[in-house]
Amino acid sequence: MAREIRYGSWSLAAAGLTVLFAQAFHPSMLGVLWAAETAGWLALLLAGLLAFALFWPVAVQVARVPGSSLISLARETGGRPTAVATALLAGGLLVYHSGLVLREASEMAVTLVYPHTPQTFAMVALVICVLYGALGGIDAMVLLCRSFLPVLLLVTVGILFGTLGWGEIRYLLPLWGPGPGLLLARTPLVVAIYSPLLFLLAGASRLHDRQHLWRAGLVATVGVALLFAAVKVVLVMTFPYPLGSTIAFPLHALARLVIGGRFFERIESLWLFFWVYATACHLGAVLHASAAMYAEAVGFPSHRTAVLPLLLTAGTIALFPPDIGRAIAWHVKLAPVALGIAFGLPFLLVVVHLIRGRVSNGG
Amino acid sequence: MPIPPTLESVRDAIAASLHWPNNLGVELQPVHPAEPQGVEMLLLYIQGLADEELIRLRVLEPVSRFSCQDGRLTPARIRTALHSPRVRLEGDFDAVIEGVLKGAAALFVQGGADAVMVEIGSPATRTTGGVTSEQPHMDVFGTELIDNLALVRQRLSDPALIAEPHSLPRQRGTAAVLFLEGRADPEVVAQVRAWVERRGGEEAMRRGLAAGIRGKVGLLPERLSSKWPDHVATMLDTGYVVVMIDRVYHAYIAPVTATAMLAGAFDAVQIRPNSHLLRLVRFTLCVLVLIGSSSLVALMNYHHEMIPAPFLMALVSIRESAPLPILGSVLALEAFQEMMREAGFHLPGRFAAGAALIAGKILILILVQGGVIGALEGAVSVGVAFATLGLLNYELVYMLRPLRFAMILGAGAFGFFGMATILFLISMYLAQSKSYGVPFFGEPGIHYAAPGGISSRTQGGRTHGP
Amino acid sequence: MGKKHRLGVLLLLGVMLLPGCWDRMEVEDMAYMVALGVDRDEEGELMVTVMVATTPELTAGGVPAPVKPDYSRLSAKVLTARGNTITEALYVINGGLTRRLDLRQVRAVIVGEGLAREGLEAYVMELTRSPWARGNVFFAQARGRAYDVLARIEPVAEVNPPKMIEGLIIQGKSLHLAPPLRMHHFLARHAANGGDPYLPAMAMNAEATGSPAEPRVSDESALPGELPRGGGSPVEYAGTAIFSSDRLVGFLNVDQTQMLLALRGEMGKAYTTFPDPDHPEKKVTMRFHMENMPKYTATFRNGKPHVRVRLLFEGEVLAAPGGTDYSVPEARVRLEEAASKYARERIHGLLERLEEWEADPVGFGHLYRGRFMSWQAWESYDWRTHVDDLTVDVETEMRIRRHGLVVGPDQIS
Repeated sequence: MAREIRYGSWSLAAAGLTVLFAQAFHPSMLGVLWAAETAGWLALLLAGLLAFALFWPVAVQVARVPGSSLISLARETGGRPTAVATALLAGGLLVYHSGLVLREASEMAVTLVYPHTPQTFAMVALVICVLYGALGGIDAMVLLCRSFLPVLLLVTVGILFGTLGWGEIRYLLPLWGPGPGLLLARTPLVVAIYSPLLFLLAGASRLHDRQHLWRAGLVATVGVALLFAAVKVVLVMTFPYPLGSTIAFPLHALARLVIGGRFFERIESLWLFFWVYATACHLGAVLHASAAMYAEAVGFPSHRTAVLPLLLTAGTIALFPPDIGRAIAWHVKLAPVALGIAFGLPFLLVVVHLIRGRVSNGG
Repeated sequence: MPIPPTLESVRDAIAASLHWPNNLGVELQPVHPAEPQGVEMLLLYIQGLADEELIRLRVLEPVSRFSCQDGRLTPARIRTALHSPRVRLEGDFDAVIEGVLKGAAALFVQGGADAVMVEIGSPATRTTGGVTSEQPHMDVFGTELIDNLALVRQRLSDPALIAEPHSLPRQRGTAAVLFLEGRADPEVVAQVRAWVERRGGEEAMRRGLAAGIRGKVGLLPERLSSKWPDHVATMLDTGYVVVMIDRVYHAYIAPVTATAMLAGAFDAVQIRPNSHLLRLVRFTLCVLVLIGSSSLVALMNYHHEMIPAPFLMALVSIRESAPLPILGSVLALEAFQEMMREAGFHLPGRFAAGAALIAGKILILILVQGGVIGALEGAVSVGVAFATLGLLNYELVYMLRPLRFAMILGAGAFGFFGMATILFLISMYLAQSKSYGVPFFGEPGIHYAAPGGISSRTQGGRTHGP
Repeated sequence: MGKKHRLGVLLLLGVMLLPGCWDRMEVEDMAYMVALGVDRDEEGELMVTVMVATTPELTAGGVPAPVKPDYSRLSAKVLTARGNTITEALYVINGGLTRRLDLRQVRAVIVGEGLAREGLEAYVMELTRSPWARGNVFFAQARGRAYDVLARIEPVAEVNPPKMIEGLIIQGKSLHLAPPLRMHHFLARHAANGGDPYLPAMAMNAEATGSPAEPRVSDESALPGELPRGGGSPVEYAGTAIFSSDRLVGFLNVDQTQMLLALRGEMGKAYTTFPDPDHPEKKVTMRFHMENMPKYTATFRNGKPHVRVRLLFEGEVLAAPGGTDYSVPEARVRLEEAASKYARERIHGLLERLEEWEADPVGFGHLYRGRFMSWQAWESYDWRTHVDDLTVDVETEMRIRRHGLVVGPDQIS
């Protein structure tokens, strides 16, 4: 007899942190940030707050509708067609995102340590992990992330501390980067980094304190913003601006510099270990969320039916970009779209839902 | 709470607080004095905790001889009649229950404001043969279910501890399902109960440990086993459900979780931070068993830069003439390790397994000296073997041992990347695994209960046990 | 999905991984390069020198070794090749090897003078692009050819080449004969708009092969390759190479190296010798370090950058052959003033050289970054064009705190 697993908002927050932070390893995501030059860290913090501000009303409203998910909110708002459209857009975004990350990750493995290994081999290994993760579902993923998060944080903080000796604080100047106006104008694009946050809305139905979904969002966005900002600060201090923008794999580049006696130097391969693990968690959770959205919109009994086709789609998308440069560029170009789908669409649904609720109450 | 006025209400109060008669070992029997005839008293004690022979001598016989001419049977008179410094009067019902849980017997009289408490001696116990150097002196379970229950009750004297009796007619035995009410998840209790009744209990009684812990095919056992009352008491206290069976000296613990697997039998006698640290040490040992040899393969085949340079140069010169590639020698050593361990189990004598292991180490040393394998492979393999010895929980060791071969193959094929993928698959498998509806990475009861389930967080402040 | 299926997935993966291992290499099949030298030769071609550790001579005790270790010399071989890029030359070197040349254990990169005068950026970036060489390798500038440094180095009491490189770094850190820098320092300081990089210098000292030491030519501190010493390795590690942008412009001697590090606030314990204020014909030797970080005040004076630096040193008398007892307060003040004046003069000398070379290794430019509202404004200001307008005022102060095990002068008769 299978019973539903339920978990608290802190566990879901841990999953959110892991999934969002796994992106720090990928070139495209920090690539967005060089737009803010020496003030990249500030842009990240502001973007984190903005992401939460956009997510918060959605979290509150999703917790109120029966079913507690983005799709059920859409169905409540505009019936089945709206639900299907929402699933197509939001799930599609997540699949596209997974595809590109899959490509980047496998290219990264080949670039960083295994120059003679075919890239598809690295991709197949990752795909198997992602498939298993997505089939396992959000509950297992939450439990896994909850146990893995402390390790991930420890490793990241270790890398940052290990690299701190290389940095010079004065490289962080000027504090405003491109200047206050441009900084504020460029920040919204950075919010795209937080778009996998959508997966929290797929996990909400299993939350035993649903009204606290916002807490998971808060911890995930603000926690990750702080972590990203810390990485960014150390990165700018170590690789001063014009140089830093040429560094393709930021955390990896930092890990390469760590010196701690004979044993703790040249340890970036060890870091690779945690990166692969985090990426598997990230893609597994995101792909699962996408499958769950489709399944709910179409009315499948289980998300598992949708996993394989979606993974195949993501795998195909991963093969589309002809080179790593273009994979990154496609990802960066996606930023405004991601922002619109991940934050704008749910926000719009909430507004419409509230207005309709008021109208029907008034009537 | 005062003693209820009538014997009927006493019976009800005992049923409410000790779950009598549905609680194995809780004995409530009528007693009749010689005079006045037809008057009934109630005797309450816990089997195993209070020695029945002593009860007969000190309570039943004096009471059956007792006669009261004027027909006014009061607790004070009975106390006088029992005539012993171990007899006292107790007016508080909760204190009576507490005393009974500590091994006393209580006599209730119709209309009496007090109960007569008789302190009875402690039961006989079976202990480990002599005190070993490291382990504290501890009791282990015997074959009598009632005595085993008493061993647990001695350590956890909580009225909420229920031992539900289940008869096993084919084996002519009894099984008890133990849990702390309010702490254990009712649904887990129901499922464990279902297992015992669905012939699981009989199987476990007939076929022993294998049927007791193994269930479906998979890496994880379905239940854990323990022969230590202290261990069982701690597990009950943290919300696990325990099954104890007649003539079986293992208790079975459900659900199987990571915390339960890492908990050792002796954690109960450690002070708090120490027991947490021990758990951390065991976790480190698990990690070592899993990734020890495979990291060596990954380092020596893919990530040479991580080996400190001056050491690497020495390493190269040692491996210069080694006949096997590193993956081959590590796999061979690990397989050899398994064989020696297996051989050790079949040797007679208490230290045979250890002796076989040591013999294996000596052989490895000779291989290293002869230049057949590198010193580093030898050292790591010996380290991993000792790490498996450090893990007390056999179910855990049996799970980890085959998995480390998967890790070695992963490392051989793809370095740390391969190890990370295999490790992700293993941990994903564990994260998905549920035992009695409780996820392996979760805690028993509570957070995973369906809405409306009991939450342990609201149950704080309850005191139990010495 | 049942448990059997999940196990099946695990097994499937195991089977799929088996044919992998394209990148598997056993340690004994590699030739580990420990040092890399890059030169521009007379014909204008890039010449790459590599020092490869030859391992069979190194053995742990108790294990049979093909060759008996020789504990009097470094177990390494030096190979060279020419090519258009470093990578190409390294590829060519493999032609003469039976093991794959491997860069991931490289510990030191040494650059020849000819190449450095043209500019190093492209070569450093080439190494940064490679996943094997990395930013934390020891990076030094040869005065002369890098090939000579690598081919002629004969360290005392070293057998293990990687250990030798570690030794170089430790020397640099503790004695300040040369700044202990790594490749990433060069790259970051070159890239950061607001200062110039510098490197430790290594040089062949043709006269150091003979023992005893040759007579000294002048009283000045020596440039790399000219230290008055004999015996030991003919290659010495002392002094600093100064760059303007990524091009080598000149070398500093040991004294100036110390002062450069002091201006940057990176000086540890340093040794210096200067004239005794009471007996100018005698010299006092002191060990000194910085009591706290230098205090900079950066302003614009008539639109030109002007920096005031205040340095506070703490010293210990090691040798005072004159007759004065410098532990007496009045005499101590005289010595402190002389020492501080000496340091100030040295710094002025250093700053003059830097002005002449139009280099800013101290990174004075970074003091001005915070005054600009945006990165674009700072870029358009273009610090590089303002380096020659920079004026620096230096204030120094020395406090003598200890006198060693003897109180009073070294002359007691």
